[in-house]
Amino acid sequence: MSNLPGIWGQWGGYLPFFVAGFLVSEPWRWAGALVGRNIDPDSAVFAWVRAVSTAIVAGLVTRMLVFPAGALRDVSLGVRGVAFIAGIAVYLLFRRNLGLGITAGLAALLAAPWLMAAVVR
Amino acid sequence: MGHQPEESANQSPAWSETATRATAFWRGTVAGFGLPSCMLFASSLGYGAFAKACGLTFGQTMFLPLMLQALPAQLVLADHAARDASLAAAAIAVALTAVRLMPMTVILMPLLRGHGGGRLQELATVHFVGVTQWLEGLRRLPEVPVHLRLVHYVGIGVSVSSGTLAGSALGYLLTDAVPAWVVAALLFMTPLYFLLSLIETSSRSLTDRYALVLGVTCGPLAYLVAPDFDLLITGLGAGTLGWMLGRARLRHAAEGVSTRRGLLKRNQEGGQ
Repeated sequence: MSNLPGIWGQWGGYLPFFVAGFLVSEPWRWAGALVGRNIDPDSAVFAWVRAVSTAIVAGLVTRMLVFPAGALRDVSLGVRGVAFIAGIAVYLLFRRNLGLGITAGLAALLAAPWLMAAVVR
Repeated sequence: MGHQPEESANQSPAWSETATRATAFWRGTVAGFGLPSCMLFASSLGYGAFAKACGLTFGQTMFLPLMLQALPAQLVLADHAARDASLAAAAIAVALTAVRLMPMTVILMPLLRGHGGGRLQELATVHFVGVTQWLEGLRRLPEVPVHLRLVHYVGIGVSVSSGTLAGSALGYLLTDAVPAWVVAALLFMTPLYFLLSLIETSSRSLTDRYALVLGVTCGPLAYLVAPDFDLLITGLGAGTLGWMLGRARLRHAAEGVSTRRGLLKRNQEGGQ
């Protein structure tokens, strides 16, 4: 049913995701709805929560770039890095335009191999 | 409110107090189907391609966004499954990305209260607390009559979520149908999208900015040292360090300001 390794292919392939996904994320929403009035979203604890979640996503971002999955593995690390930095640079230079930054990064990723081939020749 | 048609005419049409729940739901979906669902459609293309590369089935790929309603948690979970991480490691990492949903829900609740429904309806509605839906809700709910807000927010949630599902499905199915360079581009889009979003959301907070820089640096290193727990190490280590640095810096800055004020005051007093 599922091609996933270990526990992730067991129990029909859905229950592991339910346990490690829904059961550990949905209660935070419920907690926010139930005890809402008595806590301060700007407190030091929630600043820490935001910092931890920011760092997790940031770490995942660079790992997806440095040790990629699937077809991105066939693009060299140099090209991936240059295209990524190009995307960030365009985003910052053009008033933090998300669409423009992503377009520039993708354009750089696709154009870099041709450019490099042209330079080598 | 109905007495001032001119004021609300240039925004979305004004709400009449006699509007039905169906109308409120429908208008919520229309609001969500604009830019918000397009944004999530585009960013979910990368998630779909990533889930496929991780070895998830199509059903699993759809299941994750349905139950999590948060792109970071989806990626973290798919990634852990692909690497055969333990259930506990995956659960802790997902939980750490999801804690931030609690303060977000806290901020949204005052806008939802007064709906006349029960607690259970409330708990079901907050399933749709994710960054995009939440921002749209904060923006639109104040204009909506109080008793219709819950159902309006569900409307926003459903339409944004359908954008996510459509994008995830397309990203997954495209992998087998398009040339490899298109798939590579989809897989590249996700980290870039996330980094730019993080720059955006952390621009207001010094602690978040430190956590971002430290997390980006620590991520690949932690993967080399402890591939099974790299996200936990990065999150707890880099996140906590960033938080401490940010707070120390803020305290330092606050002391600096008060010292300067003190000097200024003394100078003024001396000059008089």
